[in-house]
Amino acid sequence: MVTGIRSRLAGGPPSDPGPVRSSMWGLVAVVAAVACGSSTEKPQPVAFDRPAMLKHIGENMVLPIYRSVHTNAGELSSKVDDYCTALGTAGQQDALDAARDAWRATMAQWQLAEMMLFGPVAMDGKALRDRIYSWDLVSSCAVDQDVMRKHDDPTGYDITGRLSNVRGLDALEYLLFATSLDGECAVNNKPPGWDGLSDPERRQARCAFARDAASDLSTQTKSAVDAWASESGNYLADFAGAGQSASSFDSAQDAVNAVSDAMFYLDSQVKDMKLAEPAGIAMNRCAGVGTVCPDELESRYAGHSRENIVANLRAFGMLFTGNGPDSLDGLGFEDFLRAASADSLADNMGAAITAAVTAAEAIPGSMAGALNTDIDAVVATHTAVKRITDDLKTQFLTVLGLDIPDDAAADND
Amino acid sequence: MTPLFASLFAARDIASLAVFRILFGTLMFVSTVRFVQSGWIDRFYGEPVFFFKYWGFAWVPTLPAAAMYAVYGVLAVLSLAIAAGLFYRVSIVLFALGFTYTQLLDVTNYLNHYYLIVLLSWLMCFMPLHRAWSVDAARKPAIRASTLPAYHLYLVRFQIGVVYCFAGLAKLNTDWLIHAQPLNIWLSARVETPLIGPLFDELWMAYLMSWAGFLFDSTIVLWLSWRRTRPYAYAVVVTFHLMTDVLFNIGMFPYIMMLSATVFLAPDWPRRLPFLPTRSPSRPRHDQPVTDSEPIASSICWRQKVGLIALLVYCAIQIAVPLRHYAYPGDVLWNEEGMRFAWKVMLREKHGSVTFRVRFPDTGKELQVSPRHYLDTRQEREMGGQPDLILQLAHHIARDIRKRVGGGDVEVRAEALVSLNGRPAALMIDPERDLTQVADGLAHGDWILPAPPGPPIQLHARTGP
Repeated sequence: MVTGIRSRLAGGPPSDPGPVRSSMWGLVAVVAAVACGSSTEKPQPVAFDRPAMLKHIGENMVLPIYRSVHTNAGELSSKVDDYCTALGTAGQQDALDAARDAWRATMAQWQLAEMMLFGPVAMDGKALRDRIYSWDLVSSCAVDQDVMRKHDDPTGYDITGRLSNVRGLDALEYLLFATSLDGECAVNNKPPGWDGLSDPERRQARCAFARDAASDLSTQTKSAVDAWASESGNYLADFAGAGQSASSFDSAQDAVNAVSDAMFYLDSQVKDMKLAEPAGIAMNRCAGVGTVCPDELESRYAGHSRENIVANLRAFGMLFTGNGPDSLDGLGFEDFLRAASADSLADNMGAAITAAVTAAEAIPGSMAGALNTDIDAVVATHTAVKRITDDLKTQFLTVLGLDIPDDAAADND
Repeated sequence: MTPLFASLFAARDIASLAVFRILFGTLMFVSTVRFVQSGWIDRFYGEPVFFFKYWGFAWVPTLPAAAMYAVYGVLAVLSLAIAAGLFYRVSIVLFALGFTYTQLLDVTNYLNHYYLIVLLSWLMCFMPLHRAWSVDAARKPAIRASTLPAYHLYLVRFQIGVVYCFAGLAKLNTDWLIHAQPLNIWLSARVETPLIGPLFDELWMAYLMSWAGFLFDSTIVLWLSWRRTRPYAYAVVVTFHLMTDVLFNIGMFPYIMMLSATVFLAPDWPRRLPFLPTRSPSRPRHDQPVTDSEPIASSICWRQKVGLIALLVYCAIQIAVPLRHYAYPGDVLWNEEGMRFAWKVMLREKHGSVTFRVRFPDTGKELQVSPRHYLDTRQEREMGGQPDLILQLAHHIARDIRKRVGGGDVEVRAEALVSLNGRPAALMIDPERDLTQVADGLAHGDWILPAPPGPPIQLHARTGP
């Protein structure tokens, strides 16, 4: 392209091959200069260091968060064991509370990871992610049925061969927080034999299944850590080395795009599913237009929806600012925008993120309660999140030359 | 016969058009197989639950994905038949019909090069390009010919010329030439391109390539048409399109243009290749009309007159359609009125965030509807910057919501924030306008807001912190 252009820009007659030839040499000279790294009189501007941002995100955000999730999942498994042991004793409620706290701690960390669904957890249709946490695919009735399967065949039942909607944090939430022992299945779907169990037997059955689920969760979260850690799967090297021959990414820009794709979780999941649908701002499964719908809430048994949203926003903020979970500062998208001279957009998005976190934290009590008593606080949070996603879906993408999720595969012209 | 008619009906070596047919068929085969292999049949035709229709073509039925596999399978076979010149007349007509059908199914599938394929395949229906180097010619010696009337060649040259000239004209705007956008954005994202990538973060490079692209598109037909510059111009064509292939995700477009530009070469250029047969009995000089096999008639018959008129009408349409955006007020890159079928190739970086607000006048209640409920991500991206598609979806949402709530009045408004070439996002559609009251059509949409004032963003590389 440069060849043909220069000949004409130079004003040479198009029919004359001379300028074409000379510009070919010009191109060769330019390429050689770049390849050899020759310096010129004027200092050359340096492109934004995408690999450094990727390395920072991988090393100081994703991996520490996964490690924390795994540590918490191990603690959760231990607490579930304690609870099952304490069933029928005076310490039952305390053990249950401890298990619930452990679940909350694990979930709080996982909700950070939810904003970073790229790499191994997102591969194969997010299979590993779904084994850890499959919202919104979870089926409480399916969990009920597998509780009974485990009860009927305690040694033969193998949770690792089961679908993701009966595994992970969401299954554990139901098992640890659901107060009714009747189960969630409709009459025609009830697991055979469930009605014949006494309440203590039902608790025992659920707890036995929860043990399996917690142990499986610990295993799955270890898989996530191992996949990224340099001492095992070392996806970190693949990610941080994007664009190098050993990497699965063609370029660092592609890896940056994978991170940006993951950030769209804020739009599709947080704004639409976690806020708009329960608040009746958008269509939901409850009857009536504009009706609030607590059934749409995430973590509705644990009453953890607001905390999840705050964690999601904080994780988005980490990726944006580059400030990791342990206050490790580094390159983030804000720096990328500023390097591209889009300071105004960087300022706007930074302010919008802060405002959204503030709005989410201002929701009084649980989301379920706020839906009934302070819907304005939920709507305000939705509005604040939408301000971020409007920028994310428009100028953010255009300025950084990024594609929307799943769009890169198709042709363009 | 006037000199014009004489020129149009002068016999020209068929070789270049025969090779064009072979290359076209081969490229269509590759393109079709690539489409299937990429999983795009499921993605484009199987997964979407809503399809955007072209104005006037809403009646075109959408087939299930399994049937679309069959359609593409048939297109692949037809492509090979075209390349081989086997049952050419039937093959090219069926191909033109089939390919046009696939393009009419969803506006979000529109690509300029797909439109070019539609036009070329329909033009080829009226050209006996199987008279040389084809199975048909081998089977039926009676149809063999070493020449064709020159207007066949001129028509293909005209079509390709239209693409380049209007692509050049489209770049004659301030964003492209004065602000080097969107190339500044695109190149900044491609700094990892081997060898020359580091230069892409330089603003001057974006300017250089913007102006180069403009000059290339707007003048290349001239250089290709001039015999003295032709070889060099074709080399530039190849370099240019290979470069675009490396830099941008534009599929088969570069190869289609490289193939198509061969029609500007001397009509007998293939005969100069060592592995192809030379013409017998005599070999024409490069651009000289050959008159030995098909003498020019002294007068033209009524069929030729009708054909000529049709040809002129076609050419007039091909010139008028890309210019139609001048009949609409405002910036075509913003309002998209006159954007399609106008060879506005790779001209804008545009992203939109659209939220539909559905209001029920009876109760005063309002719902926000995300396009995601109806579209996949690719469709949503395409719709986000195109007002007529937003209008279509608004109408569909109104119908769907009415059905869900059991009838009644429904108003649908769109909050469409759009960023064009890195500008801050601005409203593209009047958010107060009830789109259910707006009819889809070709008239200017007064519900489309003017483009935001001010220049696009200009990215400068800076040392990172």
